[in-house]
Amino acid sequence: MRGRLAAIGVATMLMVAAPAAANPASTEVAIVVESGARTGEPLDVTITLSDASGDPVSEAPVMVLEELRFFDYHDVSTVGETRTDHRGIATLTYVPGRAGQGRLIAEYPGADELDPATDTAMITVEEGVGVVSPVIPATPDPLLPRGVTAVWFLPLLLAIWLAIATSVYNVLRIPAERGTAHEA
Amino acid sequence: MTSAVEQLAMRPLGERPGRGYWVLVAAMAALVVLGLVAWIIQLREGLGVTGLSSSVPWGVYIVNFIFFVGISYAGTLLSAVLRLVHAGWRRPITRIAEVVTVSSLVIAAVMIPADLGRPVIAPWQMLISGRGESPLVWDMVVLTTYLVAAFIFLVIPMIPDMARCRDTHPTGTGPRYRLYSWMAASWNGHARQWQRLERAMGILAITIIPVAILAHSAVAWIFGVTPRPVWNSTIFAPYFVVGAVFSGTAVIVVIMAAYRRVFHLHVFFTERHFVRLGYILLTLNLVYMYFTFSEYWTIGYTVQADYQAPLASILSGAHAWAFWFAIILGMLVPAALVALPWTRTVGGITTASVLVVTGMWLKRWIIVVPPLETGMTPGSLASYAPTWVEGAITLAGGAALVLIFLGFQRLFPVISIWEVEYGDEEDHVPAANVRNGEVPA
Repeated sequence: MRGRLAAIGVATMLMVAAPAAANPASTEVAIVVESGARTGEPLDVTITLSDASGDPVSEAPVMVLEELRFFDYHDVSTVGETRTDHRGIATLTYVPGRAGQGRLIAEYPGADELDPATDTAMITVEEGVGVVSPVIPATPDPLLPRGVTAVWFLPLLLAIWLAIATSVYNVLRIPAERGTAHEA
Repeated sequence: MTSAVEQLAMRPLGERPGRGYWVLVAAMAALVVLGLVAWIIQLREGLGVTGLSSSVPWGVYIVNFIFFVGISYAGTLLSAVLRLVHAGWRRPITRIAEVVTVSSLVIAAVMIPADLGRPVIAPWQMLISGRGESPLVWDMVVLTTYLVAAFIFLVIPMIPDMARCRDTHPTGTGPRYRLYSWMAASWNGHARQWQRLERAMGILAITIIPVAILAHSAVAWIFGVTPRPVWNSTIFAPYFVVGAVFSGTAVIVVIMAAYRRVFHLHVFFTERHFVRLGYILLTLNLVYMYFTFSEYWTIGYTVQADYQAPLASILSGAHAWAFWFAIILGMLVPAALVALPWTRTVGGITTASVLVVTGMWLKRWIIVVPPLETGMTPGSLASYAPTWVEGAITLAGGAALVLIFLGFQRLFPVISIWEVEYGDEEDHVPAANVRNGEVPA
């Protein structure tokens, strides 16, 4: 198994924290992802949480999210939720499903005296050897053939328009049916 | 010589409207203008000014669309169905019902380009690239058919009354006289003209019922054929149809009550009309409650995990307030108001109808929004809250409906005079009331 690189940070690491000077209660969260990510192979994600004075924050919930990009589509999906230990460290296993550049986001929601904090780690995922990306099952064709709709829908629609046309024809004939009240 | 029915029905056309009328017109027009401004902002800035997102692409606009298509059923039920079963008491109500149908369909149609964001390109793409097997395409075709049929069904029965307006016009000149003359289609009441008119109305009355059912079924199938939890339901088509007639009937009661109060049309809209519509409302309410119970009971015991999040959101989560309002105040309380003899009055039935209209709008919200918020990929959650832009366009839709009615009753008689006059003697209560001297001052 590849070694954990939480301390050295071979993977790109970005620290995000609220400015400590402005708010003494600010919190720091750091996310580190081990390098050499391949699709279908589990990766260790390590999150470290500390308060403004650098002391670890224990038993705190941390959410890990995965950013999804597909052309213009942009969304995040939850990878999982974990909890820090007495050292302020939480770990999670992440299995990348798609090759390419991606981002993992660690979110700490905050507590009574601790501000929320977020950190982001860029990851590069390569295609796994012998490991196939999660296969999305193809949507099966519906049981009823597509043409069935036309069998009932189009004749019905045609009949409706024919009825409307007949009705309009009768109205258009009204001026031609003039006579005197006596005749009526 | 004019009849008492004609005098009463045509009174709003000749009278100068009071200050209250103009205040109401100004207020409604202001709301419509606000809606237009909001739409222009949306067109300039994009759908980003709304609460819609890639996760929740349908929001208030689609809720409004289903709601307004729903209330368009008023004309189908009260005019076409009751006409076919020769329910004589329907006569004073038919024209209002037909105007509700046409105007609400027009407002519903506006909501689709509002939701799509690109009012020209998106419908055009649908026309040239739409797939024939998609209910979205059927919906567009059927709703267009429904609108055309409903418009003709409104205009044809107006011909004899337009001839009356033409013949009694004080000056016999001007644009209003020309409009009446054109709409009267050279009508002089000859037997063969009556024959043509009755034939045209008979054909349309039969035709418009399947069109209306198909129109709302197509809306329901858009949801039903989507493999999304809660939407993917086999009962959605009849559920939507019953809900549509239910809300349409309630809207008719509300409009009747307003006309009765403002224009003193007690002689046409009697307590008997309210009670009979109340019974229809109660029947539809019970059927709709049965469908609602059946739907959520079935989902509640489905063991598929992806149904649990949207159902929890509806029953006890973020949208529970809307669901329980729709159930308690939109269904149970109105049912009690109509069922109990001491609240089965004009006031009680009108109150029940206002609650039904509000409840049914919220019920459509429940159908559209919570399943989208919970998403289809595991763990994906989104939230949706409409912005002021969507709120303004929604209010403009409601205000436009009121404005159409305010304009219509200044131009045309809201009562079908000839139908009331020539109705069966037995069912001819309004005319009998007039004959008995019950003409309001």
